[in-house]
Amino acid sequence: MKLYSYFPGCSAESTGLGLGLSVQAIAEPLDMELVEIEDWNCCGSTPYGSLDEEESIVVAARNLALAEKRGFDLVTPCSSCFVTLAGANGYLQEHPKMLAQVNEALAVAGLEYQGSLRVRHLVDVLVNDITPEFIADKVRNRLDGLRVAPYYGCQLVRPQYGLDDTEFPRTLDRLVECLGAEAVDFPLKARCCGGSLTLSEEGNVLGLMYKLLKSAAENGAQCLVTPCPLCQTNLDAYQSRVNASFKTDYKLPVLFITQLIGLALGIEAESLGMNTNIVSPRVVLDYIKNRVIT
Amino acid sequence: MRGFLDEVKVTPGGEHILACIQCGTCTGSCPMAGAMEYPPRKIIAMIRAGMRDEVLSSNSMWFCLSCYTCTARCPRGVKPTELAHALESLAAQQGFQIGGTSTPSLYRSFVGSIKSNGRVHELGMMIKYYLSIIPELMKHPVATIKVVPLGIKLFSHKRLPLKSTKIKGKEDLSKIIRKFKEVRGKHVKAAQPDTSGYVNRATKNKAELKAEADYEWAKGEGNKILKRPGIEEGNPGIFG
Repeated sequence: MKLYSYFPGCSAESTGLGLGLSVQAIAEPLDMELVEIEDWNCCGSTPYGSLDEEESIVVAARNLALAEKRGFDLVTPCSSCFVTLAGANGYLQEHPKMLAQVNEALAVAGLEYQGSLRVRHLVDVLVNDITPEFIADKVRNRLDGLRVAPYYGCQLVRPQYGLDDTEFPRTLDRLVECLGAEAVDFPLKARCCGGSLTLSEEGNVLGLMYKLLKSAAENGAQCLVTPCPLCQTNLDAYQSRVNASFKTDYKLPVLFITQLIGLALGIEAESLGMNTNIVSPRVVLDYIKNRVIT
Repeated sequence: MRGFLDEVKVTPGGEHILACIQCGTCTGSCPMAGAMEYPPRKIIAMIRAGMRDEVLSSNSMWFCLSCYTCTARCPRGVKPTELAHALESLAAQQGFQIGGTSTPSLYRSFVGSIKSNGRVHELGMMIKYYLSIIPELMKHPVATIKVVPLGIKLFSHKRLPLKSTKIKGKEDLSKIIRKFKEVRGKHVKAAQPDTSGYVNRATKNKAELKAEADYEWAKGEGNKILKRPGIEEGNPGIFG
């Protein structure tokens, strides 16, 4: 059993409920023990840093301090939490003066951060610690023939963490392939979906989603998978808006990579939060059902 | 005197601005460049020309999606994404009014939710955000009505819980933030940017601005470039 300090992120309890549920569901079968950081707070995400860059670091640092006490790597399944927490962590490790100021502030709550923590994305853990080979061994419903477009989004691969290539990443492709499914060619797999600006600049970002869906569909994908709760919400909930704006008729289910892994491991659809997906994932579920029967 | 460029340089994210060689890779990579008042390359040139008002009141940085494509591709390590966040911070803290985008309102609702709960309550955040932009919404009633079914869809798929989660350490978090402001206040006082010699750039003519931009460049990056090996100070080398 591998132990991690787990940071679910706010989305995993609401808009990204399917992510939160599916991560919990696949942890045990994959020999991961995800110990949730007690009383964690929001990482701050992009908006906090945009209104006050320095203050956002101290907000993130409370989580780093809480996790450091335990001594395990901090793991988050959310790409935005990852970029924020890893960014704050890197900044504090490189700027001792800022670390001293942050610690002066943390001390009022009896906390201290020494700068020793490693912040990791769940995809990193699945690929490098658990390994695709191990996952393949645990697969009960092989997804042979299912054509999946692996959508990385931005903050899993950029800025540069050394986890994967920033333009043509491969980690998610490997996870998809270890389940027996086919990772289709998807040239836009690391292009932006519009992030949180769908709420404030919808007109400007629907076109970005349209390009992604078009590229996935043209390459024969039956569904998309992504690790990011914001990408999933955008592509899933706004797909009908894209269809209305661009006179298209896409019905591409957008699954969390952890949901797809869960289905292949033979976990019940409901425990994976498949009922929270807006574009019906029936194509994928039927595919699995038919394969089990035949 | 500490000008705008120096102010940007000491804000987290603005440290690498002098390394920019104006190649335009950032603008070419940016999915939102077309919607911005000034695209990324131009914003960097404007900061170096000391154009505080024009930069901080523009909508450019608020259109940054934080996709980090420019950061990954920049050949000089400028990190334009971090720079955009630094500019947003400066504009927000100095009370600049930004027209043509409601992203600042969205961000304020988001951060407000963190401050009152410790975590983001997405439904509450969205309601607060839409209420804050009512005048804007009234201008586009059809688009506004279309948002409703989307919210209902998310709600009916259990993705917008009514109840917010408040963390136990909410008070601790507020105390930490307050203390940090205090600690930083002391620190900032020691290094307050001197704006006494500051003149509104909009009143300057183009030639003056160009001369200043050239001067800033020569002081910073230009200086470094001229100190190539083989060209010693006092030895004019090929330029002699």
